[in-house]
Amino acid sequence: MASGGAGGGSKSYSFKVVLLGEGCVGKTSLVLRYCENKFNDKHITTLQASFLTKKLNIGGKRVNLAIWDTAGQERFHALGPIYYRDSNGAILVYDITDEDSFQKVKNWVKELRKMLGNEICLCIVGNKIDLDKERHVAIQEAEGYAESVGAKHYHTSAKLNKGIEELFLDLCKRMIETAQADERAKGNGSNQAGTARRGVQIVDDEPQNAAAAGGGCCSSG
Amino acid sequence: MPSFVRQFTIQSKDSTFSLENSAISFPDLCRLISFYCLSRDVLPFPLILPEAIAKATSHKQLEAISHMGVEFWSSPLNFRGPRSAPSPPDLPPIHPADCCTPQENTTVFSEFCQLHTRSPFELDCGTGQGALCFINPLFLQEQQGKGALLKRNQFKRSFKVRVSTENSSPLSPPAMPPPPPPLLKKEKSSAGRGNPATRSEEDSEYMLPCVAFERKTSHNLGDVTGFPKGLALSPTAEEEDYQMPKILQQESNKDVPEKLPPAIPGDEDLVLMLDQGQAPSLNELDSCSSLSSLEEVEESVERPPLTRGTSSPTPPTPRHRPHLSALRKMSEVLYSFFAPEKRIARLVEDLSRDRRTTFGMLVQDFLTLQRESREEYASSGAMLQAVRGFINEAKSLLLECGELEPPIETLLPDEDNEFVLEKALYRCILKPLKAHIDTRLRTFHTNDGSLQMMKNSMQMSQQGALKRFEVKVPVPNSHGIERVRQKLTTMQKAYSPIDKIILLLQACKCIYTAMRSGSGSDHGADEFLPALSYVLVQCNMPDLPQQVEYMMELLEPSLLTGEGGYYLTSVYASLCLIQSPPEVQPKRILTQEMRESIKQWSKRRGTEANNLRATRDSQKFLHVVYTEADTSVVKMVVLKKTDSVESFMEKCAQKFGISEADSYGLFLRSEGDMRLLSLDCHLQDITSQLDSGFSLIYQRCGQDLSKTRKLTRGGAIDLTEQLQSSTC
Repeated sequence: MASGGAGGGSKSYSFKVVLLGEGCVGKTSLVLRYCENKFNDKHITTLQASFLTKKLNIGGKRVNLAIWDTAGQERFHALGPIYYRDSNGAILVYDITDEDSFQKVKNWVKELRKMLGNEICLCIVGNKIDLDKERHVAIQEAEGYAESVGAKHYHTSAKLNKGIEELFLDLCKRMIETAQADERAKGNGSNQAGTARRGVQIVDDEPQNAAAAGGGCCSSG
Repeated sequence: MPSFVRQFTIQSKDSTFSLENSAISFPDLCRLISFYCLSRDVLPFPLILPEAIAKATSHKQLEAISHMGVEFWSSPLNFRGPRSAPSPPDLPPIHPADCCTPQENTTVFSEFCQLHTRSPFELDCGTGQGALCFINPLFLQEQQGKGALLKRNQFKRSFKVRVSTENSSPLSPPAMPPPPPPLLKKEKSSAGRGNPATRSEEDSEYMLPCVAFERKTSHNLGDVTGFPKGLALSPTAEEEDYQMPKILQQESNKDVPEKLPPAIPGDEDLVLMLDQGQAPSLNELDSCSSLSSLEEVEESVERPPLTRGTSSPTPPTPRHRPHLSALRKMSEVLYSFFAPEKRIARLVEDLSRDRRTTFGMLVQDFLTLQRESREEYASSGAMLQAVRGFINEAKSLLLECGELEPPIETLLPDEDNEFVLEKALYRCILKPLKAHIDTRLRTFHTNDGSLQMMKNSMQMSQQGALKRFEVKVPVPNSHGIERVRQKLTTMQKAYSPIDKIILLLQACKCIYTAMRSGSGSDHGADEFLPALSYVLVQCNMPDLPQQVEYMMELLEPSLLTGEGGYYLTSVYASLCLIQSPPEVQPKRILTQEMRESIKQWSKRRGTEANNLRATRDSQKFLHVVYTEADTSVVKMVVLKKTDSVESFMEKCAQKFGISEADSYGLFLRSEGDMRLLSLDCHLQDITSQLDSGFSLIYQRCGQDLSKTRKLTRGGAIDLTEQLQSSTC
């Protein structure tokens, strides 16, 4: 939402960022670290870490970030589209010690590109670099993959508070750029940046689904 | 009545208030009083507070004085030396005990009392007789240079004093005093007053009502609604909310000390943040006390409609309400009179019932149409969309038609009106339709089988739910489940989608509390969604999807992106999960139809949000001063992007009720110059260039321009000058 002041030149942007990744990769710690600037083993002021917000001032531009966490377990994967609709950015987290979690990230990337197109800013994040000795995902492989899908790659440690500020700052800058480009494309110059919503483009990746529904195994609700 | 007391009649005409013989009128009494505190106009001198009140430093003292009622004026407390004389040097500090009037004075009082006190019910009846109004000195001391918001909050603070002045039997304390408003510690009362020895005690005793909450709330409403913020908010305070990333700070400015995180996290949580990070406060969500739509369920005092235009005042017909003291009732009425949000809600509601107005007719027709179910809707969603569409339509009509008197812009800072109007519209549209909508939703979902399906799914999931949803954290026990169920049941009763969301968040908070009871750590969606699913199954409320649908379709679209939106999404996701057969592959949980409907919904509401924003951006409201002979009236007139001076003047003519509009002109006053605007000018260009330093005057052409300066009489401040600061 852009609520630029009546006469002022400063704009404000509101971005929705969705947090994806397998359970146990440290999504929650990462975002808690960023929003509360603490690791979750000591003080607790809030009850929850599923929805967090952050207000930033980046070069005079005000940014309101709303960070939506998603459940990473396999069983909940299918609920993704309900959460990531209208997102401006996605943070896809894997654990550098867990090869499988990196594969999950690849699945998410595929799905997001299919559903939301190229307008969503993707960040692939290798978390737990404090455990570098147990690394199972090669840096080159991860970075190469990120580049190939138009995403950016970051290394973080929620525990050591490393790389997190950079990750979010960079993401915000990219989202601002996208929003500005969007605005220019619209050519109206009115302050609607950042909220240009994109409908979820749901492409059916399973042609057999229709047949299955016909077969009566899916609910019609 | 002591001879030194002089009475001035306040007259109400065309929904404005003015002192008899004065040319200046005001949209409400609050403004009138605050104006006369600064300027004398027709009064012998500006209003000031009696010394005893001004010197009072504690709530108790003020209350004691107010209990004296009119008698205060003739009491020894009311020092009446020459106005310029210094106050007696050894005036003892006032103790509440001093202010208590002995019982035997009752008769003396009634003999002397010549002043007609009026019940608050009559306050706004426009019969031409004002009521005595006490103003808390704290208001006067603090209001200078502060915004309307603060002013209003201070009025709230002082309403209690007024209440007792107006109505309590003046000589005996009320049998059952109203419960004090929730108190917050006051930072500091004005320094240098009161006895230092007693001050610390008084300071700690002097607590402020919980205004901080509301102030913060409305502060954030600007963001919620996307409405540009007015100047009422201090820009520096606002800037502080937006932290510069540390990396940037280090890069750009090494001198600037690192910003501290928001002072008290708990305090931050007070903010009602339904949107964009203004999400409410899971931490503060335990009580239902702030839920207007629920209050109203219990509300039984019938109130007279507020006077609008020429409609005649209706005498109040209070019903018997044994559990509330008369005083409490009175304070409610007064409170609603002085709290602009409530006042607007009442104004809008009255307007919506008045078929003589465009707005009223539109609303009534819609309600009838809906109640008689004459519209055929293909689905429950289509029905709710029609209702939401109507709310949007009604809102823009209300902002444009100018039937709301006094206009909302004069009562509230801009950034608040969207939200306040939204709530007011829920009240006049959703409240009467709630039962009807519920019935129809139920019918739709019974007919399409989804209700039965949900019933079955919930029933089937009762056993083994922990395993099925992979719950790995502590979940609420039976007591906790009952609590959640209560929240959700209350949620069903509320008609306002905003109140529903708040109750939903309260329910989520109960779940988080249980989740934390084990490890004490914060949990994210990995733990929450399973726990939520488990709890929803245990609550076994198969019509929950209808509630979710109600909120998803009827909430103002910008409210769907914040914390409320997140948890609403989570409940929706959870219900999808519950409904899917346990044996189904995870990939198939979301059926093609479900995906399609989310897609449609998301697109529709997104477009709606953009459209609403575009409408808001394309218009603004301007103060226009209308002068005729010795009278000046100020009203707000809507300026659309496309308006020329000519079309804008047509609106002015309509607003001020001018029939021979041809002889009138629109004048722009800027930096002391006053010039007539030519008809083909593009007004928005002019006003945006000038930003704020101008005022618009609508008056007869050829009228002596100096007349507009008539407002500036001996010692009075220039009204048009004042407007300049409030137009921006």
